[in-house]
This record gives sequence, C-alpha cells and structure tokens, in this order.
Amino acid sequence: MSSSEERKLILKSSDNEEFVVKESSAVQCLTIKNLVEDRCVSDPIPLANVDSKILALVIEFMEKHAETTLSNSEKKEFDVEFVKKPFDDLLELILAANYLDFRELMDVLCNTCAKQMENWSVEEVREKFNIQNDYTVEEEKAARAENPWAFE
Amino acid sequence: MARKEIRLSSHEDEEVEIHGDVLEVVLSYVPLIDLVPASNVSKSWRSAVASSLRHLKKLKPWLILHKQSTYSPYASITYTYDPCSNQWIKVSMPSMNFFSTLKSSQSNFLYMMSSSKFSFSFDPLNSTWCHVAPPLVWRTDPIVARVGDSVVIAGGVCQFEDDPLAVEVYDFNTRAWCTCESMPESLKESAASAWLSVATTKGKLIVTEKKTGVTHWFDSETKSWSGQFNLNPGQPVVNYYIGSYEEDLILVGFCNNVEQFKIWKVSAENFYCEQIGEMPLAFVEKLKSECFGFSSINVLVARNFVYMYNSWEVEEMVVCELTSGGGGIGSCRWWSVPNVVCRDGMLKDRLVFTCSEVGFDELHRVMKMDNWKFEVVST
Repeated sequence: MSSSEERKLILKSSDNEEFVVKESSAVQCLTIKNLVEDRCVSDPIPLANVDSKILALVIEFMEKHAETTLSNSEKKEFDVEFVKKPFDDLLELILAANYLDFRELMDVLCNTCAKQMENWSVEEVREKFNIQNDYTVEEEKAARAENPWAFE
Repeated sequence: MARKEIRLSSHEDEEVEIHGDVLEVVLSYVPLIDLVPASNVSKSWRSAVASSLRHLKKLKPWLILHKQSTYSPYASITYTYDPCSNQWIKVSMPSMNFFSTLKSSQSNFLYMMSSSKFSFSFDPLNSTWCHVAPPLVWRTDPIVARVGDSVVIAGGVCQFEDDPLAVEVYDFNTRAWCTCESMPESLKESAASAWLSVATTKGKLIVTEKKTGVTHWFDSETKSWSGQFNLNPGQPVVNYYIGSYEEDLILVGFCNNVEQFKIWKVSAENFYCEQIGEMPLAFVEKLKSECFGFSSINVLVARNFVYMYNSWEVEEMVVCELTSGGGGIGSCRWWSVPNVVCRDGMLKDRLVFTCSEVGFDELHRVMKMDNWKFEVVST
C-alpha cells in the first residue's frame, strides 16, 4: 500500500533534536526495524547514544541507500565521498552504526578504516584512534619472544 | 552483530574511543598482515585482535608464489595472495637462502635437492627449513610429501637408476632414510610429479594418475602400498587432480565433452565421488592456453580453497572457495586473480606455487623474529 511506504518515524538524538525519516529508510537499521516489528515504537524514538550531528549524517546515508532509483555504482560514488570526513567523525559514525545495527553503513565505515590503517605506523594508529600505549619498553621487547596465542 | 556492551562516544570535546566488541568488528575488516602491527598498539588492542580472529574473522589459505632464477645463486622473489583482502603482497625474507631450485608437488611442502643435501619445509610460510642428507636414489621429478612423522619421496627417478618406482622415506624420529616398497607396477609409465597428483590424509599418501584416475595409496606406518582403485566420478574426465579436504579428498576433473572443470568430494574410505561444483565457463576460458589447451593445469588445495592455474601461461589464477551448507559442502564461489608476475618475468624465471593456511602466529613470528616485511603490491 502506498500509505505504508510513506509512513514516517521521528528519531530523537541524545541532544534532543528530532528528525523525521521514512520508515522504509529507517528500517535499514535493525535496531529500529525490531522496534517497528515488535510494535514498540514510541513517538519519537529516543536514540540516547547518537548526537544530532552524527544522526544527521546517518540519516543522509540511510536515505541515499534506500533510494531505489539509484544504481549500485551511484551509491558507491556517494559512499566514497561520504567517508571523506575527519577520522574522529568516522569513529563516531562507527559507534552509531553499531548501536543502530546498520550493517551497510558499518561495512563502508569499517572498510574505510581498515584501508587507512594499512598506511599507518603503530604510532599513527594510536594517535588517530586516541589510544594510550600501555606497553612498557620491556614488555614491547618481550612481546617478540612470547608464546603464541591459541586461536583455534 | 553481537552487542554485549556498548561503549558510548562522548559528545563534547573528549576524544572518541573505540573499544570492546565494536573494535573487534572494525578489526575483522583489517587484512591479516595489518593485524600484526595492530596488536602492538596497546594491550587492549592485542586482546581485541586475538578475540576478533577467534570469533569474527575466518582466515583463508594464501597462495604463495616464488619467482626464482634458474641459475645459481637462485635468487628468489616471493609473493603471497590473501583471498580475504584480495591483495597480492610482496614478501622480503632477508634470512632465506636458496641453494637450488625450489620444488613442490604438494600444497605447502617445498623442497630443494642437491647431491649433498636435501632441504624441506612444510610450515605455512616455509620459514623453517630442515637440512638432511639426500636420498639414496637420484631423482629429478619425484613426488615428495610429508605424511605423519616422515617425508615420502617416490618416483621421478633419473634414467640411469635401476628402479623407476623407487620409494624412500625420511623418518623424523630416526633421522634417516630408508628404502621402502616400490610404487605399484601399474604406475610404471607415470611415476613422476608431472603425471601424478598427490594428497595426504590420516597417515596415508594418496597418489592418482592425472590422465586416468588410477589411484594407489601408501601407508606411512606399514610403509606399504595399497590399491589399485580407479576413481570414477561418473563423467568422462580426462585430467584428474586431487587434494586433501578435511578427512576426505577433493577431485578436480576436466570433462572434455563439455570442456569444463568440475569438483567432486571423494571419500577417503571407499573413494565414492559426489559432485559439489562446476567452474563457470568464463573462468574455464582463463585457464586455456593458446597453444596447449588444458594440458599442464596445476591444482592446489588447502582447507576449503582450490587454486588453479595453467603452468604454460600463468596469467590468471582461478580460485574456488567451497562454502559449507547443512551437513557438508554447500556451494562454490569462483573468481579469478591476475598473476602479479608479468609475462616477461614468467619467461625468464621459474614460478613455484604453494598454498597454505597462514595464521596470525606465523605472521607475527616472521615479522618480529625473522624480520620479514610484507608490502601490498599496488595494482
């Protein structure tokens, strides 16, 4: 029915900004899809873990990928431009995509991160990901000779 | 995706940090060679890498290519192909020294032979080599395989030697060669690596004649041969290639009536063949050599991967990933990989291919201890 395609949802960011989105786009986020299917949709849907800046970006991606008139290569072109953002923004988007269970967005973001990591030294990775090195000098040396971990 | 705990991002000016489950997901997208430096970032990243590898990222067997000069000092350049990231990687191994031509007749087993030394390696990256006395019989093109606690060398005998079917076994425990029961007479015309396809399962070395499917097997415990069994996939196959798949075997066969490669799962107990896949025709074309058609195809099998190439014109490799469905093999995913070595390189040097399951531990060790460097080849 055409009316169900036009059904809208209101998403509220952690800083209380409200965004209106089509339900058909929003259900790309499995978290939201589950709420809709379980008929637990409150109005608006509060997203405590996502601020307005990030939510706006997520919605931009969501709506682009929900457009049936776009070809896959056009979506890919959009993705390439979409990830040209400061790295901290990409990290926040990853957290949001994980929270919303938005697989396609997660895929694009993680692939981008992985690609960037290829070219970074250990120091650069620490800097970009905001990580403290907790290895002591001795431990770093010892890490060379330690026992292998059992993986399987 | 599992979400046991969500780490919140901060919204003010504090720095964003990725931990725990989310970090493991991000790491599952990182190619294996980049996971080694990632594990050096911090202790929590180290355990995230370990956990990601255990739960999320399934490693796939690498194809390894040695491009070696045909004359002393046998300088060699090594490349590996990682199917997870679909990348060719150039490997520099400062510690490696090849004293002769590298050879392989079985998935990840590499050996070199001279009149004074027989050296072999079967770890995933061939970083550890054993050097022992050469076998008694001089051979040019034998089948060599590791079976249990020993290395079996069979056939490929020089013309001046007496027995073309001679078999010797090097036992790791006794550290000596011993001569064993020769190969069966039925293999007399084909007793060399060029004519025989080999696979090992559970202490047995299984040998199949590429042209006929005639199969025998050697038990490394009793050191004796059994068979003959004629592989019968139920279709007209003209080239038979076998490989180990779990406890059983894989058979890749070329059916010349339809000009297509098909794959069967073969029971190692009774050799019953069950078809599990066939190569899409577009890929069959890639394996066809202009002058020699489909002769000289090489097939490498490791875990659930099959790598195939035409050794006359190794321009493209065809790869098949067998995915498991309910109760066994479900389907095949096919793709092709252009050879990283260009045509000129192929003409002057020898190309030796192996394939093996390279894991994090091996990579970590060779990077840290042996100073190997891995560099992605840009296409």
